[in-house]
Amino acid sequence: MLLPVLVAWRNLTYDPIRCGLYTLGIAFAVVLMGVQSGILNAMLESNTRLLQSLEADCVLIHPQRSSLMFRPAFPRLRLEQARAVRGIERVTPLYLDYQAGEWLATQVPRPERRPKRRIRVIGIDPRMPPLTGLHIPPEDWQRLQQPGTALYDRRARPDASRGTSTVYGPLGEGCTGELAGQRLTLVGSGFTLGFDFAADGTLIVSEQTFARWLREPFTPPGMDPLDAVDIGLIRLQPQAPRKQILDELRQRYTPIPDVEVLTLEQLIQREQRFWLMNTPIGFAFGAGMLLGFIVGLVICYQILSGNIADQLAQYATLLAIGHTPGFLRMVVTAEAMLLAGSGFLVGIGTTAGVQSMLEGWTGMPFHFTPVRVVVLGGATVGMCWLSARLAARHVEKVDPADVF
Amino acid sequence: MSSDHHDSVTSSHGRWNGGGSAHPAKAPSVREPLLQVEGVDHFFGRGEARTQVLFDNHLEVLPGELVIMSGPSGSGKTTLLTLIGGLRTLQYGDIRIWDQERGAPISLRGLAEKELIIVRRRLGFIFQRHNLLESLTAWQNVQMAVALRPRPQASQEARDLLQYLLLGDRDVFGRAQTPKFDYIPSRLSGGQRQRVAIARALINRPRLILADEPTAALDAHSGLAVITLLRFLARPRPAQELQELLRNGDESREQGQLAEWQIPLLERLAGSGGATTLIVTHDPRIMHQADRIVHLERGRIVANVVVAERLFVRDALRQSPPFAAILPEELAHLADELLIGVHPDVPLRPDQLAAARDRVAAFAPGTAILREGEAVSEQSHAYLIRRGHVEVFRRDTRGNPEKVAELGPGQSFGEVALVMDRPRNATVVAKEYVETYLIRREVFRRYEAISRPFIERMLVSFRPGNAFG
Repeated sequence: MLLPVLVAWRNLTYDPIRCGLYTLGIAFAVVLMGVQSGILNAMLESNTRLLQSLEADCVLIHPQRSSLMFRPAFPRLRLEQARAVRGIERVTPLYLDYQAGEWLATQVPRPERRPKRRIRVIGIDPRMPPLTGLHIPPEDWQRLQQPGTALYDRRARPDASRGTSTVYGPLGEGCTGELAGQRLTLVGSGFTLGFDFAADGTLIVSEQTFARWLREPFTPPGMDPLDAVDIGLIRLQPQAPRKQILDELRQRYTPIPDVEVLTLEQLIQREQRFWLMNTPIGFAFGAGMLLGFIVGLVICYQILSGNIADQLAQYATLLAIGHTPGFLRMVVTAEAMLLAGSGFLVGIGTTAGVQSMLEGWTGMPFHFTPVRVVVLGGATVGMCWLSARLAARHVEKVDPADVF
Repeated sequence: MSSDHHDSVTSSHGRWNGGGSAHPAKAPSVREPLLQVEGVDHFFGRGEARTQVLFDNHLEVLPGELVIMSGPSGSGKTTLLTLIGGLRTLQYGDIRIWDQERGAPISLRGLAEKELIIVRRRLGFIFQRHNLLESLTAWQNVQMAVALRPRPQASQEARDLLQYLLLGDRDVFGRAQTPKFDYIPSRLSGGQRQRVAIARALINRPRLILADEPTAALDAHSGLAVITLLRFLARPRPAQELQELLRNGDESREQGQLAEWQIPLLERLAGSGGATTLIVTHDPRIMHQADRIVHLERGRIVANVVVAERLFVRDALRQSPPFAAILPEELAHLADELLIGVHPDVPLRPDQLAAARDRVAAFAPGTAILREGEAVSEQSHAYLIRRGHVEVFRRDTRGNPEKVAELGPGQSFGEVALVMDRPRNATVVAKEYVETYLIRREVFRRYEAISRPFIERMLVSFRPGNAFG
């Protein structure tokens, strides 16, 4: 069993220069696949960074809400059912706006003003903010209680043509502007959330500000502008039986058609799936990965079949002295696996380097999760194995009578 | 060729049992060939391009024989060798190889690829092109064969074999050299690579060794080492033969020499012999080592000579009065006409007897082969004893039969009456089972002018003498 591996090892390593080139070839394919999947993952992750910074055990959301970007919302009243469940610490509504909120920086002299631009606005109760992931200091939350103020994202999409400024113009403490046509002042030291496909920047405002600035103009008279909740955040008491409570919540909300209960992780996955399936991102980077796979397949096939062609007479001799074609196939497969191993190690190292460079340039969140490493390793092994299967067909044609 | 042939073929047990078999190895009995080629035709190509390269070839090789196949290039020797080795599919005819483990011959006809692989593992192939794996060292290349039949003592044997083939730390003059065990082929000379390939072929102790020009790339010393090993693998030889190979001087330069230190290795490697070798070669240095010479021309075996039989018959004819005076070349030619391709120590099988009915006859004990006073005809023969003994009787003056002589292998009778054209002068009775070569009367006519005066003189001077019949 070991012999084919030894022969394969010697075949690959007896010429160190070639061996290095072989490894680089496979590593190249690994880097292609790795960087493409890294970018895809980073994009999906940046689109859910808001959700990841929420402090919640589970959430209430309208079942037809395919993405945070799109409505429908659900009635505020639905939160009450959850409040009645034992073991729940609190239930907080979160309001989101992607459509109506347009920012115009007014303190800039008129000729230099940027045009109005949509900005994501989060409405929240600043007395018990569930946005712990953003590390906003308590005094900022204090200041937000003043109507007409907003916390701002320091990492809004930068304006490439104007250096450090954002596409919204300057965003900073004391900056003033108009949100949906009404005056608003930015306060606090700012938070870092970053831009994604749905939003170039984010403002956080209090519930009252959210209602007055963004909801009231569109609400019929006599109706509560805050009646439509985008996400209900549910926080359990510490040590509460999580699974049991989740089951109870699900049971309570089953007869209600406009709300469903999800864990935060499920919501994150749903959001990521939306971006993957409904936008060209998934296709573009999926195609990129496939391309890397095919490039690797071709490179590996070339290496293996070249190796066979060089040693046709030797392989024929092995058959003539009584080795089986299966033995030769095993040698080829072992070569492929060794290439996969060395190419993967070099490739994943290079991918890590490229990713940290990209992270520095773009601010996208690149992470090597164990799943990604395993998938990338699996793709590498699969690629080499497949090319070994293809190359092994040359071995079938070896005729032991040829050695004479 | 020495008369120990008979003994050697029966004593081929011992170290050659083919490692790890549950059954005790069974060597074929003396009469049973290790290799039998029967009516083998072979075609290359198909349709219009189909050409026949082998035509109705028959060959039998006994255990322990060293066979040399010769013939011009394109005569089909290599094709025949690949068919025997199971490297090509047999098309017409049959090839049977004695299967050590089953104790019965195995037919290559219609054998599936899987079974052909098993047959190949039992053979030792030496290829004209060495075809070593470029990435493996000499040692590892040999291990590629060991892996097919792992044995605990294989490592020691591989070391012995490589050392004996002058790839170890000593050269043929006993001088220290760098061992080549860990060299990859690109660092070895052509001859060294060839010797590694030979070691790879022999390490599994095959019963049947097939070699295509094994010595072509070798210098005199290593060539001699290889052929000597093959000869000793076939059967043990007298120690004095080895002593002669320790020569030096001019003879060493031309024909190579063995080193004193190689001899214990050779003896360890060869064991008790019993391996059969088929060599395709043009190398004149090794031709004279053959037990059997097979010559192919245009796809046919045109000559199949057992060297020992040829020497036996030539020697016997030289002793026979009618032929004592003819030229050696003519004698050689005459002897070759009688040959049947079976070693004189080996009794003939009925099918061999039937096939060579015009050249050989067998008689049961007590059979009268000749009767005194019988007239001779054109169909009468003279007899050359191959095996067994006969008693010669002649009527004394009172008419009672009197035993006058007993004749054995290599002696002949019945010539006098044919040469002198008169009735048989004695009665010859088989004392035991007797095989004789038959010499036709027509042969004597060819040499009448020389042999008649000679016999007349002999009859005068030696009457009753040693010429009977």
